[in-house]
Amino acid sequence: MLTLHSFLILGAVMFVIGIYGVLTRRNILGILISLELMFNAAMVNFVAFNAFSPEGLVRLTNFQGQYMPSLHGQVFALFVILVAAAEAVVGLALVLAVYRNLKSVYVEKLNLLKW
Amino acid sequence: MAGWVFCLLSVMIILASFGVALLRNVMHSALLLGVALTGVAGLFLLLGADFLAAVQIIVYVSGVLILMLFVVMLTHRLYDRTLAQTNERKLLAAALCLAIFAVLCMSILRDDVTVLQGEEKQSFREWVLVEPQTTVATIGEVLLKTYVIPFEVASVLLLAAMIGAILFTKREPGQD
Repeated sequence: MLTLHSFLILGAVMFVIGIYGVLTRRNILGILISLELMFNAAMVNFVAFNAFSPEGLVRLTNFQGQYMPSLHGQVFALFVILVAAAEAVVGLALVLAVYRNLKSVYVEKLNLLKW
Repeated sequence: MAGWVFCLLSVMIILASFGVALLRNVMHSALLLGVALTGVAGLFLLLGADFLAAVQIIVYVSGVLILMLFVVMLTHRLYDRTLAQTNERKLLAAALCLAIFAVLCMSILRDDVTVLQGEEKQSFREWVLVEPQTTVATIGEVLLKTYVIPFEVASVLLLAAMIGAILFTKREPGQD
């Protein structure tokens, strides 16, 4: 039987695997890719809570006067996609700028700010 | 039947995410992220979020992932395929991740947190499985009525991200 817990545990597994990837990878792009995995885990959580929440948490009516289902979790997941795309763009631009100067994408070479 | 589809999708997603975190070749890892994101889009379809699944595939898989593949191909060296991709803190990271997962599972499986009020047992809302509706109109109305301010702020955020990306990758005159 499919319950809310199965979706939440799947989201937790994805999130934890993403954390492992962020903590252990040496390539900056590998870290950014694992970060995207963490974003997707959060989105799975949002949409799962939206689908399993009781009907009529917030009663909205559309312009025809019908009751709409409340889709706040899906709208939030849409915003997560948006912010993740913006962050990926800026992060990748930074990676390109770093590569142009250091000729390397490994994080142990990024030690210019070390004392 | 929804249970079998969920099992199939979750096996695909978990195997792909293990590949994302553990593979040496960053190109393979990015492509497996594409598999995982498509699996997540399938999960969204299972949960009745049809517009979100389409947006996920169009924006995330075909946009962000392709961008990452571009940068992977631009910064790839031939010896990268044989280098170890993980640093020396593997065991500590694995222990930390298992601890975080244990805490998350304990908080998910508690009965007084994830049992929502007004529902006796956790089952899909009726309109998800019995009477499928398209969510596009509702998302459009909610975005432009309830969440209009975050919507406009998000457009400013995207503008800032575009300007930042162009600025970071601009070649100065005199640079190589």
